[in-house]
Amino acid sequence: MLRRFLKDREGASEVVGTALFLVILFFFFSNVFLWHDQVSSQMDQVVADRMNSGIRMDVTFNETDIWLVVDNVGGLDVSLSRLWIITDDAHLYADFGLDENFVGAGRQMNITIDNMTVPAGEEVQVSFVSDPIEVKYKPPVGDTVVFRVITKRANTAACSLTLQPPP
Amino acid sequence: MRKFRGNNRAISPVLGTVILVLIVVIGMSAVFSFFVGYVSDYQSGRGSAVMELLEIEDVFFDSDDTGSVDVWLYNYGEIEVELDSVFVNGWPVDFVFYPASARELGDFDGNGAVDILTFSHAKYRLSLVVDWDDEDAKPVHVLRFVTKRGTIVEREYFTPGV
Repeated sequence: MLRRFLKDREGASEVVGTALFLVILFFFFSNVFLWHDQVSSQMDQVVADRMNSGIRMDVTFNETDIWLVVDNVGGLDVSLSRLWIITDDAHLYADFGLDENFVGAGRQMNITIDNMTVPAGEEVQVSFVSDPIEVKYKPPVGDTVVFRVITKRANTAACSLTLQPPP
Repeated sequence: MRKFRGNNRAISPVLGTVILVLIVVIGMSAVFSFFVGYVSDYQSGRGSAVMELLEIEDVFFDSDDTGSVDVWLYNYGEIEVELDSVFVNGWPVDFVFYPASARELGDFDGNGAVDILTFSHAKYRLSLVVDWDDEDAKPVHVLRFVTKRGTIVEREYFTPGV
């Protein structure tokens, strides 16, 4: 039975042709599979990094100064991207730049709200020359201001401040 | 030599083989170039959707203009993003891009629409179907952004005063 099967050459070309076709098809599509697998792994890493780089923000103030304290509570370094200053009437922002403001894992960054300067337009100026960094904004008295910071990996943290009028 | 040239036998099998090889080579080249183009389109198009990461970083309901909403998007993915359509509470709405709101802009596919580059912020103004302070307006606005590659980002936002 087996000998007869091996001797019979009829239909061999179809079998060889189909095998070659499948090999060529596999060669073509394996490139796409490999690329997709690589990209998926890369993006999994991005998402994992985001989950492992959480931040927290608090506001502290006394009679003369206001500070924002950004805590890196994750295991990775964090780069701040933008600070939002939100009131009922306006949504302002201060850009930190892309690679200028790292907060190391477990560390914190202080941002001073320079309440002597009134912002113009949507973008608030940030001064990087001083330490801590100064954001040129004057919070309105009596209204609640929400500060929200967004990192390069799109993690956010927020806190609010309501300055009471002097008695 | 003269005998070789004078002998016309077996011309047709040789010619047939040459033509067959030619057809196979041309056919496979066509298939290969089609496949390369297909893969290239897939990789730069829908296949790259997995590399898109978009965040709605802020939404502003301006009381001076209740017929629209300002939205800031942040691209933190590995590839530039182009918006295809925006929906508010399920309704498709018109949207306008603010050129000054992004640090870096580009038009990679040359179709005239703006691509938001990676780690770039961009502001859009959405025109609402119903004013957000209208009596018929819902207190919660569901914003849905759809990119050209098919990525969907959806969030809910309360209107002011709710």
